[in-house]
Amino acid sequence: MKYVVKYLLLFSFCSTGHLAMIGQSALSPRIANYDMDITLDVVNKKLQGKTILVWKNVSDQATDELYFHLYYNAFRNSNSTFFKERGVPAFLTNNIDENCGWGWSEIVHIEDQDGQNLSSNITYVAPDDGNEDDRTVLNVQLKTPVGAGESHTFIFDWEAKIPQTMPRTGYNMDYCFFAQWFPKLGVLEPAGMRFSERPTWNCHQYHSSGEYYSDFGLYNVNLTVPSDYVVAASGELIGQSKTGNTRTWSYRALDVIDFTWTTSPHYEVQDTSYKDTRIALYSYPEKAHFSKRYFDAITFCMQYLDEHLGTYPYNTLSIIDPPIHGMYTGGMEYPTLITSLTFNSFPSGFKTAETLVTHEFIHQYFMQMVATHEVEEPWMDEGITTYYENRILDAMMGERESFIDFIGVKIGSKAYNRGEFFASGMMQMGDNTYKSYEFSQGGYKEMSYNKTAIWLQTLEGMIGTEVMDKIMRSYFQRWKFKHPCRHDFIDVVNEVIAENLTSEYPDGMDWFFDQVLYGTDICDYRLESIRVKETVGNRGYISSLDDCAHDNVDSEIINTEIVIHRVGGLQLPVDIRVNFDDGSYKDFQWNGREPSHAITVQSEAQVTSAQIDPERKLYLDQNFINNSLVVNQERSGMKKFMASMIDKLMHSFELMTIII
Amino acid sequence: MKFIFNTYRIAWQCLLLNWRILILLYAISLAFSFIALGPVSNLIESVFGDRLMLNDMIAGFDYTAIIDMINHHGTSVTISIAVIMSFLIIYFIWSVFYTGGIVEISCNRYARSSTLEFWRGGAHYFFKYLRLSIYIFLFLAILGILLGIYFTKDGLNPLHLESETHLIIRFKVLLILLVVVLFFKSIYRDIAKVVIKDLDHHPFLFKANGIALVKTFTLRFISLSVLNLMFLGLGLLLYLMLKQVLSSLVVTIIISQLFFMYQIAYRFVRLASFNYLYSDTKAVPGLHT
Repeated sequence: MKYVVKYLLLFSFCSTGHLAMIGQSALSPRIANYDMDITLDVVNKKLQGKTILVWKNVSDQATDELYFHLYYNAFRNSNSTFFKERGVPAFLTNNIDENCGWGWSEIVHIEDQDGQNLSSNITYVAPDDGNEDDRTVLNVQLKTPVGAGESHTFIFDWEAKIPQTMPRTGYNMDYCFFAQWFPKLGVLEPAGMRFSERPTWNCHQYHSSGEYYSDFGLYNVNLTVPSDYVVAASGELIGQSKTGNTRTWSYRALDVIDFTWTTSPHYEVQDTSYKDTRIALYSYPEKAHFSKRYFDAITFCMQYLDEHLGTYPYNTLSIIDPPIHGMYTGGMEYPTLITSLTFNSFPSGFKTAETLVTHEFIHQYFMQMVATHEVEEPWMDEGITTYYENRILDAMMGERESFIDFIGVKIGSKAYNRGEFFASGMMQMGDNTYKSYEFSQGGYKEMSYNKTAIWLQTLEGMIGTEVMDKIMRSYFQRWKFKHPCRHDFIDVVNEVIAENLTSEYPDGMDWFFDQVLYGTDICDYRLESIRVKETVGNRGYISSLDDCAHDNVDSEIINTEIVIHRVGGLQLPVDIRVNFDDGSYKDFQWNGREPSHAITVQSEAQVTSAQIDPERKLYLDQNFINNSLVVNQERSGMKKFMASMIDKLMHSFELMTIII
Repeated sequence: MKFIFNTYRIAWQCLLLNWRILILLYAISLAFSFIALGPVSNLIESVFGDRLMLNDMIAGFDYTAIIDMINHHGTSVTISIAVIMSFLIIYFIWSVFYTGGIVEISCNRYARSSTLEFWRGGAHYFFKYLRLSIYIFLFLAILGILLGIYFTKDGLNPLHLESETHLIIRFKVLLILLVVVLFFKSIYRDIAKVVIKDLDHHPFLFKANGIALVKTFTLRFISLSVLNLMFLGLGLLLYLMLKQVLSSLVVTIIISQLFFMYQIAYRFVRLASFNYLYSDTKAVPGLHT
């Protein structure tokens, strides 16, 4: 009977075209391929799943074990590593005990392609912290090893209790969002891939920060939900069928690292397109009016990335705008499906819709296609995405107001990111080699998102936008549908620099990464002084003791000394601009290495001011105010500014007395 | 209605007769602001005085300049803000004082009053008006708490909300309610000041408050208040239009200062007109509504 069932399953698997598709012209290596039948029980808040996994061992050695992520077990109890790191957030979980909103996931039965039952061979392991209460990683000992280069099929039944309003996933009222929800295979890294010297399973526990690292594959997923529910999911909808009170939505996602879905009876769908991609917005009726903002932003973003990196290759993109009670799932990225978050109570000058949808869409490139390891190297995922988010938003809505433009308060996206970093007080909490969970005293966001975006911006400033674009395009094209690590990124940078800027950077850019990626130093250059020096000619015994020289000096020439201090530890090449009273200016360069540096300028015109980094190439500089010095400041500007302040204060005084 | 207009006209005449007081009030307000901004001025001078980034600060709101100043001169920024906040309290006390002076000199409808009378009136009514202001402040605080309780009656945890719409509607309703309450509160406050002057021999404010409360909801005082607000609104409209048209910072500041003077004038005229309306309706029984 067991074999009959197995062959029936395999037949159905092949008949859906799954195995056939594995050989199709693939964008990715398609290593872990899933065929899943899922039933949602909205009454008991449960998922019943049957999965057929076809996995290929791409290493050069056989393996006799598998590792699975069972991320839903992070929400099993408060002793999981996830909650030990994060704490149980009262905001999300204040009803959790009342409704028992905890969740879990279990493999009920698993067997291999020969029908051998592996259910008794499963154990929970905690490779990161040894936490015995954490059940987010499952080890399965195989009875038949999977040889090098072989593909094996595994069939398993599993069950999950859906958590209530947990970070990024769960249900609330009749809104459901399923992220990191099914038993998902870890990655067997072959020798030479990333940091592996021999084939090694890479399967981290579910931590408070960082999620993504999976093999590419095909997903055929049948989702059975109540018939009045609308489903949105990764990939393309290939069919629907209604049976009684339920409806089955069949989705297919090709060349992706994950599969995510959501369902609710209240979704309204609006769509648009960019080239061959259908963009669908799923939102509740009260938020449907945000569609124009979303579609304008997403099409701009897609076009920008198309021109700068490469074409988005999927034919669908779903944008989910969760209801207010589903906000715990907002602002997330999944393959071909992203979530944003808007509030009707927010003025349109707060550009959250544009910011979130842009940020999450960029993740389709950095995390989904260039599939870096978010837990081990979060900067490669969030940092590069934030860098592009700033570039795109500034290009879309203007550098001064791309983040906020409200009652005269204008903040640009790039400027906000920089301000957030330097105001955090966490500038030196760790370097960019930290794993996400190693930022145990804070600093994850600052290092992974903010700092990386700032040093990428600085790199762009130093080497120019054109060369930077070549680097990023090369990096994307070379590493899409693969798993690069930081060495791979640095290699691309050095290659492109060698091709384009050999004379400027003959030794490549390792020196830069040693400081910004592996180091924690701060960058701060200060223009210390501008002094007119007395012009002194040759005097005294110069050529012989018989001749006391007293050379005349050309009084037309003014010698001005400009002194710059390197206050921070970071050493970067610095541009210095000296401005003269006739309107001209002269640029100088300094390697930025010594603690201080002086430039002597000889000129007929008076020096009026000097400025370090006039084009703000060094975005890592923590204080732009001290980057310049003016010889004689024009006082009228200051007076006008103070007059304006006094005027505002007087009106504030009067307004207060009117109210009271 | 003609009576109301006449009262309002006389109040303007009284202001014109006492233009020196208007200048005095303006000068004192200017001095307060000047002193309050002393630390800010020094801070800006020391941070940006010899830096090119001063131009970014002057040009308008510059997030980068502000965040760099806060990051590197945070303590000074905090102190400067604390000084301004303390001056807000001082200015509030001053405004309580000078309304007493305005009420006093507005009693001479057709003659110019001396500055001495202004100071005397301010000093004489100061503590009674301060008590009144504290009562009003407490009323507003209680009102704020009640409105807050009503606004959050279903909780504020967004995860418990089916939709934002209810909150937004409730907020709009409460805002309208608040504006209406503030409108009547301003009528009540100014009538109370006039009645306190009238019942000067009473050490307590209960009777004055009671009379003021009754008169607040009379058509005459509501009409007069609307007339006052219309003039304020016209001034505001003109100011905003000029601000929109003018590009020079200096001219904008001058226009803004003129509007500030207009606000002081508005306050003078409002108190004076309430004073006249109260006195006249009290003196003529037929007009006593």
